Amino acid sequence: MIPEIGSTLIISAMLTSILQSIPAKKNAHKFSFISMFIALASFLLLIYAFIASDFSVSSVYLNSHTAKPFIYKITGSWGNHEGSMLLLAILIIIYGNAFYVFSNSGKKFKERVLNIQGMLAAIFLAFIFFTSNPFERIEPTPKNGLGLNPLLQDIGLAIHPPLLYIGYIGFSIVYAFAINIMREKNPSKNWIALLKPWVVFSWSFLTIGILMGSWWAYRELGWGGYWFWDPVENSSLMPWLSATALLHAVIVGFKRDILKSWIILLSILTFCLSITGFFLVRSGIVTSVHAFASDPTRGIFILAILLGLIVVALTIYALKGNKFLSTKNLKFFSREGFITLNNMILLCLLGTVIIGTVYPIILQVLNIDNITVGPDYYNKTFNTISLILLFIAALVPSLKWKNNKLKDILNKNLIPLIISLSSILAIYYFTEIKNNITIISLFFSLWIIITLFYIFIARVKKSYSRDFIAMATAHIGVAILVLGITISSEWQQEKQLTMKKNQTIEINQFNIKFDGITLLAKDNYLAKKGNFSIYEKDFIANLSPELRYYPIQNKVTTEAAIYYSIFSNIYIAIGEDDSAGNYAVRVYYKPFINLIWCGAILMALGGFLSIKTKRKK
Amino acid sequence: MKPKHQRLIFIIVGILCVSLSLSLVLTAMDDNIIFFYSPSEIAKAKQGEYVRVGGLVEENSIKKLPENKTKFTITDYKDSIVIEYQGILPNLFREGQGIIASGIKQDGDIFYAKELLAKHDENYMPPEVAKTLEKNKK
Repeated sequence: MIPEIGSTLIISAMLTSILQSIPAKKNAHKFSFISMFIALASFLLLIYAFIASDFSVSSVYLNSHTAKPFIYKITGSWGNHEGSMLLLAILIIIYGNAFYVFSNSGKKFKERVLNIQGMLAAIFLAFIFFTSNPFERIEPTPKNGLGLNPLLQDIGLAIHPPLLYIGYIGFSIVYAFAINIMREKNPSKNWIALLKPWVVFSWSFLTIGILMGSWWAYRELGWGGYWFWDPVENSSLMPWLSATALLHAVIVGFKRDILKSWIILLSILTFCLSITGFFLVRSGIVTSVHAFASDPTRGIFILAILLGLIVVALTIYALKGNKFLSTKNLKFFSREGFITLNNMILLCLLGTVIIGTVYPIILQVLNIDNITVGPDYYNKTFNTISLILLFIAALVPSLKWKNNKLKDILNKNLIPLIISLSSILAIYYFTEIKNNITIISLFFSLWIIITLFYIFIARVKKSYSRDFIAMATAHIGVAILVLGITISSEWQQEKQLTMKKNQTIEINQFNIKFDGITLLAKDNYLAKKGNFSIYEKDFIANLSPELRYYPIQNKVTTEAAIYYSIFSNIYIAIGEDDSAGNYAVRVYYKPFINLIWCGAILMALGGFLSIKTKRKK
Repeated sequence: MKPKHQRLIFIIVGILCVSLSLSLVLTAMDDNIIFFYSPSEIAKAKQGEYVRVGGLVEENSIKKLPENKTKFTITDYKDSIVIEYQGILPNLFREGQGIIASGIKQDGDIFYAKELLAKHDENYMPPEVAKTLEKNKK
């Protein structure tokens, strides 16, 4: 009974969304409000089905089990394809309502944006109802479910999709806004200011969403890695790169009233890349650690949606886009000039990721060859090109808008450069780095941080403005992120060996003793817990990595144990024992890896700080 | 300068950036494409090439060796190949599971894998492996 209500609610929400998209009546916002309640009710019923372990519902059967801990029963409702699609649809509707309530745009404009939102919501809900209904029933009702993948029974992974989706779907509003601003006969003068908060908000959540995914991978996958250039990871990075370009374009557009056509095109691109992300992940077209269960029909449906979005937007742009062409010029040696360059570099980065991700797919689809693109491709292309981005980020805070004199810029950067350069020379002298990219990344990252602090301390005019603080936070975040990545890659140490009880190994300045194995039995798994003690001179901490066996799924997982200190992480994973009772152990020393998470958090924080824009005088 | 001309400059600079990136991409791509072979195709691979081989782990073929090494055979229902791997095995590693091993192809019967890939879902079969199995079943 309840699942049938759930299904009916989905189709009802689709109908109200269709009504929402009809322009004539000017009550789109009312329908949007109603759709939200209907869709939320449907989702609550889905969560209920999971909690009640109603295995007559297909998605509950496939993804849950009575023995699953309560909280993971709840999070399991969105941890699968059907449930997550419903979450996406709900977010589309919620964003529509949020736009209506919070945006300072005119009423008519808001109505038109909601018309588009309604169309998007209707399309997603139709997709759900016809190809991915979470309430689909199975007969006869199984006694129990197939259980949830134990890898998904982790809080980090439970939050990661919703955060990511809040990011992705935010760009649906950005897209709808862009479509409608093109159709306006007399676009309001400050439309960029009206668009900006939505771009920044969505970007910030996209950043955190990606961060959570990486952090989860680091803790859960047992290999100490946090980014694999996996097609599914790339499909979140691609919209992020475009969104970052858009974010910067909007800042320039707001300040100098230029780049307007560019902003519109980026708005379209970012949302389309988000949808492409869904396509890649859910169509089964990629081999990946992450990919959802595949279904070609879904893939084709999503591809059709994507093409529709692109064709509609570009047609409108072809017909109406030229009213936004700039009448002003910009000079290269200015803040706006370098930010424009930043946009070009970001798009080059986007290009390298697209090529690396899509090229194998094309070869496979055309049955030419079966290849994978190795991670070194990205090191050579992406990492190299991003050095230019770091350089720009270091230089821009000292650049004024409109025009600059070379002498002034050299003066402003003299002290930061001296400090960064001497630090790098010191590091090079004491540690002998061989990799050029490492040295350059370190140099630029230090320069970014020092320049921003220098400006702040020298009490330059306006350095305490919210905009400056937000920018500084975000850019320092970037620099710290890069430092974390560079330092941990360059100086990381790894030891893989078999250890017997009471054996000690040395890694960097630490000694790690294997104290033996204890056996555990929990709710839904059995575990072999490895007991390790870390010593420097004195005892520091215990670490207990586990090898878990989930009987219901007949699945084994490694739970790595991580010791967090400010300067490094010690990361231990255990494997099976051999015939002599010695256990396979993998130990990593990862210096400054925490900087990666801190850096990303600062980036998102910078984003959140800059959502409220000053009104232009 | 007319805005129209500046737009032209933007486009030219853009094309320059794109060309530079493309040349980077082409050089990097060349060295980093990893081909996938099924056990029946692996003979085609060049000696010394870093490749991936995929198939199903054959029943009763898993042997644990000292020094954390494991030896097992994978098959695509037509041919099989012996793989030796040193290190902690991926969690889903067991008989009948679809596995992809990557490593340098050497002469001789054994493929020394540097990495083993198994997805975290027992229902998953790497598409490449599935395709070959389908082809060979017929």
